[in-house]
Amino acid sequence: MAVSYHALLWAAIFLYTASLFYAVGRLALARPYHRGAKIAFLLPGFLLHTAYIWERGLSEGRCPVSSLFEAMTFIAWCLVALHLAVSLFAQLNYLTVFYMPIVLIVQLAAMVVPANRPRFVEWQDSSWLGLHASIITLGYAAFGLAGAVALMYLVQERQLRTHRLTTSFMLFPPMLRLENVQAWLVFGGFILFTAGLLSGFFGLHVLKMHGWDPKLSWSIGVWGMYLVFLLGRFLAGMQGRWMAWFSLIGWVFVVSTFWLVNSLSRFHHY
Amino acid sequence: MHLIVLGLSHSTAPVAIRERFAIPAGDVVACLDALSGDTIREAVILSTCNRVEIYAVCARVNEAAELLFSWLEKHAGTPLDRSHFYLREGVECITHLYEVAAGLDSMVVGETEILGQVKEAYRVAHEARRTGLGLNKLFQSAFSVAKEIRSHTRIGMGSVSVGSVAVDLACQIFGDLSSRTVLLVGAGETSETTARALRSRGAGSLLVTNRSSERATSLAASLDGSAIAWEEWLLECHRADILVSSTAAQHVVLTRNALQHVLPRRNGAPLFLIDIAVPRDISRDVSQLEGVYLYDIDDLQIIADQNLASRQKEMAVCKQIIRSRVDKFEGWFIQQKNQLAMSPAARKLEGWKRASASV
Repeated sequence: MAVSYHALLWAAIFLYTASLFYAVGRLALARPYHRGAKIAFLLPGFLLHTAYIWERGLSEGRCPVSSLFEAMTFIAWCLVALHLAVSLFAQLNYLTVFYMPIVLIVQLAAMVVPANRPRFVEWQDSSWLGLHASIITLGYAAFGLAGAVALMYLVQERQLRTHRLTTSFMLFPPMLRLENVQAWLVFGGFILFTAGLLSGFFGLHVLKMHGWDPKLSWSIGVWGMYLVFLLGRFLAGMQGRWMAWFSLIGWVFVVSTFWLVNSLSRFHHY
Repeated sequence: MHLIVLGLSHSTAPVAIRERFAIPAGDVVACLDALSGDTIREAVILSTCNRVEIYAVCARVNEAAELLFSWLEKHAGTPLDRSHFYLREGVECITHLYEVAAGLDSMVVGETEILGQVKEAYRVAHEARRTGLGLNKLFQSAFSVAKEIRSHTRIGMGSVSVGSVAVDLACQIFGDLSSRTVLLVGAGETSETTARALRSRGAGSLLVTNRSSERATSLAASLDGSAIAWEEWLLECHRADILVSSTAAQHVVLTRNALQHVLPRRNGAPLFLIDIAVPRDISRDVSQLEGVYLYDIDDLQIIADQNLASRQKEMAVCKQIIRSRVDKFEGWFIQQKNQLAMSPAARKLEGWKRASASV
């Protein structure tokens, strides 16, 4: 069984790679990006990815987010899911070029890390873990996608500012659309992240697991950082490239410190 | 049965000649009737400011060409110089129509207006029952080729005029322009053209200011905008997302210092400045301000030239598509010709053979 349902994941990786090659190829040839082609690669890939996670959940008899492999697979899935969801509301041609490499790196890296669950996580059998990990991972994915959109915005903004316009400038989505999508992704990510944190705190309380953890301090720091972004964007009305840099650097910070903090954490050590 | 096109265009004749042979839209049906007969069995007249062409299906090429030349002379009321005209037959005629419909033979390569004009010319001839199997198939295939070229190549990408480039850039910054405010500083002809282009792309509100308040008021009225006094435009500047400046002033009308006072009220929202005045109206150093993007007439012209060069490069790809489609059409046309050459009994037999082969 394990062998057969792993094929679903490899098929999904293949389709994601095809979608990336398609987008890069169209960009290199400066040809318009066909939405239908994006859906043709991405949607079947996503459905296979979903089927894989579902199958793994069934075979393990739990929400498959507790091992490092599962968490990374889930994060890759969340990124694609969010992209597809956002595509329903805003046309974001060529976003695949910016975020799909992250999906592929995360997913391929997941294939070489241990797929087994950690033995020392005290709350591994709790349903709180599944809820907390799923919601907070979706939050991370939203921040990640916001970072990719911010990078795309910065590429556009730089071309416009320096008057060095390439064909990609006319092919990419308008700058203001990128800016708005980025802000709403951070907003959505913040809500999910907050809900994930609260479910984590509540879970620890219910399971009577006490004591401070470095991951909690880090998470509150990340939460505060994105809160500052949202206050600046929606209350002070701040816009432009500094907000895009904020979003991008914020995500780079999260990714670069995530593994270190997890390795120091008692509750999140994989 | 032969396909021919006889005509003249911007590449063979100056406007003084072209205008003599132009056929007004209202006269086209009468002209088609005048041409109909045994020599010319089907005809479509395409008359635009850049070309006058008659596409026809005829029995004998030379006879049809002579008839068309004499008819053109008679219609224009002036002798014609044949060196201004071209006569293309068969494959050359098919290729020519495909290139015309796809905008490859236009003065501005890749423009799309010509496709609408070709469609209209065909519609008029079709409704006047002056087209038959040959021209129906030829024009339908030309529309399909034009569509294929537009969607599979970059021939139509990137504007090639200063005003359109400015509008394209505005759209790439703001996306939807309906909630954007455009401020015209100076009510010259170029800014009016740019403003109209912005309006046609859905620009929301429009403010006009000019030293002559009468001119500002009349332009604002014609563009469905509002006029503001020249003395007050800097105070209103924070409302604008797109500022088009084209005054006749000999000095800068918008300095970095003045704009710096405006920006805090915009909360970092982008401001796109289009300076199409010569000498320039906007100080160059405003582009150092955060969120301010300044493009002057030279910047826009460079982009327009690059786009034109890129369209020229794309011609080879387009011609490749056309070549393959011409071969396909020619195959069909030869088959029709052969069928027409057969006796009725042989044609019937051929029909049965095809029907049984398809089963």
